[in-house]
Amino acid sequence: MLKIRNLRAKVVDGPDILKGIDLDVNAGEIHAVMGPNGSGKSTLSRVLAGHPDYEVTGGTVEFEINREPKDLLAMEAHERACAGVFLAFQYPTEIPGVSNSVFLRAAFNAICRAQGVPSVDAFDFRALLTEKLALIGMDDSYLERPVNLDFSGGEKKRNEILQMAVLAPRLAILDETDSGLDVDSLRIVAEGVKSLCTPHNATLMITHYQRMLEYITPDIVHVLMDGRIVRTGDHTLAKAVETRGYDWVRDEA
Amino acid sequence: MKTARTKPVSDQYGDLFGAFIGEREGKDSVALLAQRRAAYDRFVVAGIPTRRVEAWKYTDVTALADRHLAHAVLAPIGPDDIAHAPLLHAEDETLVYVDGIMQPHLSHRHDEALLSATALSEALTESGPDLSALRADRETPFMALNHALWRDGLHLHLAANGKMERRIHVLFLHSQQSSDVIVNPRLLISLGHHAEASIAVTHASLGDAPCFNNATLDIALDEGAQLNFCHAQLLNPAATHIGATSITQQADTTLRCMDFNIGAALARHDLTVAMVGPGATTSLNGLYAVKDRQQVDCHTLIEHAAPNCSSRQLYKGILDDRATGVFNGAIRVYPGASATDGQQMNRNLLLSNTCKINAKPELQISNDDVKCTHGATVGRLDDQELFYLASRGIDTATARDMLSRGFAEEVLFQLADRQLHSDLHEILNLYFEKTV
Ligand SMILES: Nc1ncnc2c1ncn2[C@@H]1O[C@H](COP(=O)(O)OP(=O)(O)OP(=O)(O)O)[C@@H](O)[C@H]1O
Ligand SMILES: [Mg+2]
Repeated sequence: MLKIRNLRAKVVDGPDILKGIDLDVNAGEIHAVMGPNGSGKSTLSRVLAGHPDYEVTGGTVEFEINREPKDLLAMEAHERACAGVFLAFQYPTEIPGVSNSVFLRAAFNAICRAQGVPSVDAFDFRALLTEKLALIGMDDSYLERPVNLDFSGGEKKRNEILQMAVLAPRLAILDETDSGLDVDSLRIVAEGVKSLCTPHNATLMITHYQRMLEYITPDIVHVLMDGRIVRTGDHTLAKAVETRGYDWVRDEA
Repeated sequence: MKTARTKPVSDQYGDLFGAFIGEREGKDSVALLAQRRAAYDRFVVAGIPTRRVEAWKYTDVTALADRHLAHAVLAPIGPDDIAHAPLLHAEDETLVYVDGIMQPHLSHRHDEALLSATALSEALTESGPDLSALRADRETPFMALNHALWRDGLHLHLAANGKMERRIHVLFLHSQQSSDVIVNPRLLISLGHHAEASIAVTHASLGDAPCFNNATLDIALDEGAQLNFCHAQLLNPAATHIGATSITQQADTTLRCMDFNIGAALARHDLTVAMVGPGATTSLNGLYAVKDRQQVDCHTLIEHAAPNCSSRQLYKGILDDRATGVFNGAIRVYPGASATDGQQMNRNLLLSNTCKINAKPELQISNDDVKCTHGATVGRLDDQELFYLASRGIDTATARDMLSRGFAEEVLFQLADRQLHSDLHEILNLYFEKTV
């Protein structure tokens, strides 16, 4: 589904942050990406989502759309989202004055339109929202509030997963969705995410901790250091990282 | 001897005034006629302020000095003609003016016992109040002109302890005239002690003809009164609006005010709130949105003249194309006004590279025991917010539109009156529809 080859990227006027990433993600897979602070995990997620702050200086990213590989890097950010790429932000943006429900409906309809699916009316959309809110353990008071505005850290993370649940992406990139969540919230959100994983979509979870992975066992774990994937393994790699730290990976690499 | 700081007015104002005063003789009291003549003289002596006058530094109105203006030619107007006028609701206590003339057959009165409406010309008997003396020290030339030329001035009074459930709406409409006309709306509103009301004053056009709407409005809140007030300038893009609104608050009064400016080619609004009794609170929200070559100039002055008063101001502006805007917000704290709490925020959103905003907060504090804050921001749409929307599949044009509306919504959101909220929302939609 996703094929990244030798991807290099930097912020405009800055040094390279991604220094040659190779990564393959197939439908039905759950990947975890771990790595020390500042190693480039969020940068990778933002480059894949099409953030304008970054400049791709080399490499390719292919994303399969209708079984055809497409050049993801040539697409605008909103086109990527319409094609099924979703990024749950590490630090979700606050949007004053735009209510969550208006925002969700605009996004849902934009994606439906792009995918040639008829959009739903306000009544049916509300029903869909109610179902997804329950999945994430949120009540509908969040719908009329401005997007993320004055949400607590944990509420923002939940709101990201609510959006994921509503928009049903084919490739979900979750950037530290687990951090900031209390134990109970973590369980609810992790179980929600898990229930959204199907054989037709894929999930890339960026995390520092094993705890989210206890609910959602990744098929493949990658360690990203200094802009490169230095090690790839199965779910035991995550445990090893948590107990032994990154120096160990660095030494072995 | 006039200074070069003002521009002398052309003789045509003399003709306008001459024709008008002739017509008023026999209708107005001798005292009122004398007041009008004196006001007209002050207008002529003052002239039109140029940009050398501090208060007019960024807004050039000198074209008014020799603009060819006429009195409106009055034609009968029926309910169908005003069916599409903004903010009209049958259940409101509605007072409709067309070209400055009161239209009883278009107005809806429900509760005349509680809310009295008296013609100012009747209220101003020989011994009555001298309107121009209300604030003689800060009369602008435009207020003097208004006083010389107002026609059906009105005094609305809500009796003490009166609680008006219905919204009161005073609508100043401009009919489609073949010449450029001058209209001088004049309104005096008073709320008796502990009275409560919701009042909207709107200025709107029925056609696309130009006009000069020169409005003067005074509001007095007696002890403990509560007022939700909305001032909406919704004139057409050929219109000029110059408005002076002065609100006086006695002890323990509550004022919630929305100052909405969308429409005219040139709109200047001076809003003064004088808190003269202790324990008064004011929350003042404003929204202006301009595009093309429109100009808007909002001046607010909050006077803390008594202890324990608080004021909150949030003014937001949206500017596009080659439009220009001014926000000048002054807070004046007088000696003795202890425990004053004054906050002011002005935020501006620039949607083009060619629009311009001059934002100027002004704090004048003569007292130690004061908590005053102010701030002004001028910015474009936020890249991170745009990316967030894009990352959810929303295209750039739609995202810009959503964020701009969201920017305005933050102010409209403050309106407790849901009907008014949706009405103003609709008017804002028109602004955006023609932009995007
Ligand atoms: N927009 C930007 N402008 C400047 N520097 C940036 C920008 N984005 C990322 N960087 C820098 O690139 C490096 C990688 O940052 P990134 O956010 O990708 O790290 P991370 O692996 O997600 O770290 P963390 O675990 O702390 O979230 C850091 O040194 C960061 O300061
Ligand atoms: Mg990060």
